[in-house]
Amino acid sequence: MTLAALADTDAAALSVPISDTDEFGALYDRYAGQLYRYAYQRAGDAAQDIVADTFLAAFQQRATFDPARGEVRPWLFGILTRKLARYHRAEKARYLALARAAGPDTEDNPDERVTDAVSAAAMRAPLAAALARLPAGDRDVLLLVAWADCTYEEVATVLGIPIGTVRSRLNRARRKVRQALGRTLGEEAIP
Amino acid sequence: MRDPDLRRLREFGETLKPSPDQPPFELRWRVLAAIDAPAPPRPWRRSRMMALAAGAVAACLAIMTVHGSAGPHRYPLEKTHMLKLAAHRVAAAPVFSPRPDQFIYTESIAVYRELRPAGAVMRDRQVQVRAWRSVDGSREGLMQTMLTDVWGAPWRDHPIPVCRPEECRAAQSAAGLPTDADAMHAYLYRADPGEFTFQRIGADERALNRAADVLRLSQHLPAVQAAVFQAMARIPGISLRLDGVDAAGRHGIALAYTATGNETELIFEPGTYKYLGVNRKMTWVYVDREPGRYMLLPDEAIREAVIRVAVVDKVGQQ
Repeated sequence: MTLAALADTDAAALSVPISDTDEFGALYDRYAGQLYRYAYQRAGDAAQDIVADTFLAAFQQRATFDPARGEVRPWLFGILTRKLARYHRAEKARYLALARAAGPDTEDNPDERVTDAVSAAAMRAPLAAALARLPAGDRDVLLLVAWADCTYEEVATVLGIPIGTVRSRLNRARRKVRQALGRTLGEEAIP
Repeated sequence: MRDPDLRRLREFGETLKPSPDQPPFELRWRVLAAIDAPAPPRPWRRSRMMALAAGAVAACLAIMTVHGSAGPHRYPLEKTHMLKLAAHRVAAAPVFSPRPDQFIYTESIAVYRELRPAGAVMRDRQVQVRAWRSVDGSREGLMQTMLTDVWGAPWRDHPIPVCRPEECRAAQSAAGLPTDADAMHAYLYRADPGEFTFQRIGADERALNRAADVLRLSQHLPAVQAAVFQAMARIPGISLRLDGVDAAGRHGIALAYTATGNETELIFEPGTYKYLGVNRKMTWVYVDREPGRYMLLPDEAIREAVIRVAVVDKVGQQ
């Protein structure tokens, strides 16, 4: 299916009568998985309620969706991000808990072949702590890029901000993440 | 992702993904039910001033939540919506168009509790069942049963007689089964003097049992399946569970009816609403050999699971 055809299908699903849930069900089937994974990564078990709220809001606001202004995916991620905002405190607590729990477990992985795995585990604590400390807006941009595979343009649509703001927030967030990692990864040029 | 910091962040994100990575099946119809509801519930917001009242609301929602769900949700599951969604889904399924001279082959297993003449419960027995039912009822069919817990047990033949579509009972053929909700409701609640049973069973539970027969026989008939889902929505006393398990060990959504001494539970595949089987627990009236003597046998369990359905050309073909 081409992108245009997909957009057409999505648009059709958003214009269905209220009584016809099958069409909207197709939209749910197409996007629920990626929305749920992203929400779960950020908010854990609250993801179910967040995704349910997102689709319910999408259905109620479907008249406001304008295919000319973008695709359905960033529109849905935009709603999801606003729903996630209610869980920022819980999300922060989740990262702090992960930061406390995470850490290198070299005793269990003495083999040199698992160096990379140990290294990845060692990164969990500083990464989780860094995410907990980021301002919510910066964290949204960073995680939409890193975890939801959004392009800068999509992030701009999701958050309703100029693309220049996306870049500046991402630069700031990445700088803080690198600082938290203790510069073990080295300085990289930020696109 | 060439940037090391983003790559590390992505690797970290991988460890936070849910397992399984798809949303729970019930979330789909919780969402669709909320959309389809006349007045969708507004998201519930907690404020400091309303914390006490919100606590009371949360308690009410917890009570409304069906058995087996992970906890209180803002969109309680409701059997009417589930049946409506199921009717939508099955009605959209591909239509098989078997020829009138073909047969519907059904393979299933049944687990029942064997009785001794004195009425004592002996043990659970498992039977493999395969049946060939004429598409239009015009040809003699065959049901074969075999005890699977006895080594070398033979297949036993049980002929399925010819019937005209308007006269076919559910056990004989799916021919003539109603395809609209009102007619199906009347069919499920029909008075049938020829149907003999020792069960102590009420009209609603009998209707649900008949619905199970219809669902088992009509898996190639989406219109019939949709009609029976719509008709079941009008059977009072049915509850919805998410923790059903059929005789083959498959987990699914269950529609259950509980009465004194009896329980009927229809199991459906999550998402597709395909009928998987039925679990029955009932009180039988056991008639002893001496005329006039009978006794009640509580908690008899019979479970049936449909394993395979196919259209074939002749009896014996699988």
